[in-house]
Amino acid sequence: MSWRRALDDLPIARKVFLAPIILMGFLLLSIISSLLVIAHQGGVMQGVVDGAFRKANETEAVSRHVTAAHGDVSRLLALTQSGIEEAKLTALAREMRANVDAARQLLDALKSRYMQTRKEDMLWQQANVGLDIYMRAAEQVVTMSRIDRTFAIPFLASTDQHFDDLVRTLDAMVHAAAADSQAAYANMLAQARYLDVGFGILGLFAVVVSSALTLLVTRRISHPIERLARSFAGFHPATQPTDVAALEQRDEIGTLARSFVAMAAQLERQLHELERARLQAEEGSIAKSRFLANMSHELRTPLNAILGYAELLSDGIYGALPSRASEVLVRLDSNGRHLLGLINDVLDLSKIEAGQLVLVAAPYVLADTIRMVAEATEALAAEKSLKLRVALPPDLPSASGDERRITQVLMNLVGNAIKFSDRGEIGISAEREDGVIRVDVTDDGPGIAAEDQARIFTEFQQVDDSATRQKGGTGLGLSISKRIIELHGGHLWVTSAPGHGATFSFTLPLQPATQMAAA
Amino acid sequence: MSGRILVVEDHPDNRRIMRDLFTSAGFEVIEALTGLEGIRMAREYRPDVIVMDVQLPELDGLGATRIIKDDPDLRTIPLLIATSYALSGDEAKAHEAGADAYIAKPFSPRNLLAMVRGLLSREADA
Repeated sequence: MSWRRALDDLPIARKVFLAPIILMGFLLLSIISSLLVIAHQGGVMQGVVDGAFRKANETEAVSRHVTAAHGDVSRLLALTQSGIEEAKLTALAREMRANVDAARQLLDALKSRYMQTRKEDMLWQQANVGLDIYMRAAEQVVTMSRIDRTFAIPFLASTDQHFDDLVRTLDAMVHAAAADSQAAYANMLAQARYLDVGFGILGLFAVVVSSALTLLVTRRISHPIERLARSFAGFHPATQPTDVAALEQRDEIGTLARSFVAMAAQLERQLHELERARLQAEEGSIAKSRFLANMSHELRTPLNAILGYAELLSDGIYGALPSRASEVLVRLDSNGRHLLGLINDVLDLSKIEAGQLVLVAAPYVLADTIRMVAEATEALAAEKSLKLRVALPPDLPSASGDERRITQVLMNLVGNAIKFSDRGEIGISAEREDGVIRVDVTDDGPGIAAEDQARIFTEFQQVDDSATRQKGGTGLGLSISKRIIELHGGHLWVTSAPGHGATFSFTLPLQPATQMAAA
Repeated sequence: MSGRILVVEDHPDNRRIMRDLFTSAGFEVIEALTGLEGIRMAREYRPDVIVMDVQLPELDGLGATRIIKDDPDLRTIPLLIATSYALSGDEAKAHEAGADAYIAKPFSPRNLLAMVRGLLSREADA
């Protein structure tokens, strides 16, 4: 197991070099071996040339000297017959002896080379003895020829016989030497064949070993990655994976695995934090709506008493009041109602933002609602000498939605129109248009500049802060109205130009949205 | 028009407003401060109309209304719920509990008187 551990701890960058290094090692080994083999075979060739060839050549040289000597003997005999002078004969005899001596020297030098096998050794001994015998026979021919040529003839025949024997022996020696060199060459060829097979096996072994190693290394790389991938398949931070692969490895995969685990743990922590934050937010929301309910109750209870007492006072329940007190009572009532409006607006907006404004959806007659709003605001308009004009087609369809909320929107729009106009006319009209009912509230007030038109629908925004102080109101009315209309599936917008009055329009779908809660 | 009105309300000023309002209109007013006291007084004095607040000690107005409307002897007494709970669905909850009418606080005493008179005349017609 320890080699596996060692392999796992080796960086991938090194792992991939393992098999090539083995292959290269084998390659290097092959190259060195071939060089050695070539050197060895050169040596063998050298041996063949130096040994066998030279041996054969030198043996032949012995043969040549012996042949030359024998030629000298034959010539000597022929010259004797023709009665040539003594000096010439002596010179020939000397030459013959020199040739025989040269043959002997060469043969002596060859002795060590012919001691390798018994057969060769025997041939050499035979040649040596043959040379002695020939020498003695030749000397006898020389001696006899001095006396008389006829005495020499029989000795010449025996000399011929010894010469033939010697030459045959020497020939046998040359053949043996040639056979030696052939055997050495054949041996070298056989060795070369063994080496071919050896190199083949070595190469095959190298390929098999390096392939096996490549396969092993590849698996040791890919398997942990696959197992790691499996550990994290379908990963969810809430369920941390157990038994993660390759965690202990000290290579890149181990680093990757540890990073994964750290990341998973981090994700889990963040998930918990998010969950906690979500729960806190939810608790906050619940607390907020509870606070809203309490606030609503707590504010309305004393306000009920204030407005109630004011009304009872003005109705004379507690007796007649001085006229100045009655005037103050009207202011008391008016301010109390204004406070109530503010409380309602703030609560409405809070409810909308908490997603708790639930619409009560029911069919209602929009024309009646508009007429009711007009009646309720008529007195207010009359106070500022504004004319209130209602224009409704006789076939205006019924609407469906929260009538109380639509009334609130209309009251807000008509109230604003009256509040911001000092002259002219307030118009309320409605008509059917492309699957919706469109309601327009028009005034002849100062109008709203284009850059302010988006702002007035934002919470706590009026055209300018001085307007808030002059005209009163929270600046929440339009924002609330817009949200109410949008909850009904419609739109609310303004068309205006400074100095040309303003028209606030909204649409209500004929088929109201089925889901009308501000969820 | 005369009659006996049971006002169940724990807030002293609001209770006084209703007392002054109904008394000056010629009604007899009896008062209870909690839901349980309201039920007891309804049983004891058989009022012609009950005006019930919602947020009450011991037993809230909706609970008291349910008990009164479950009581065969009391269920015919017209009952009006007055509440300063402004969240949506309050009116539905009031009707669900069995109330005959609903008024949100702050209410106009004039409107409350008109509603009580309306309930009484409906009762008289029935």
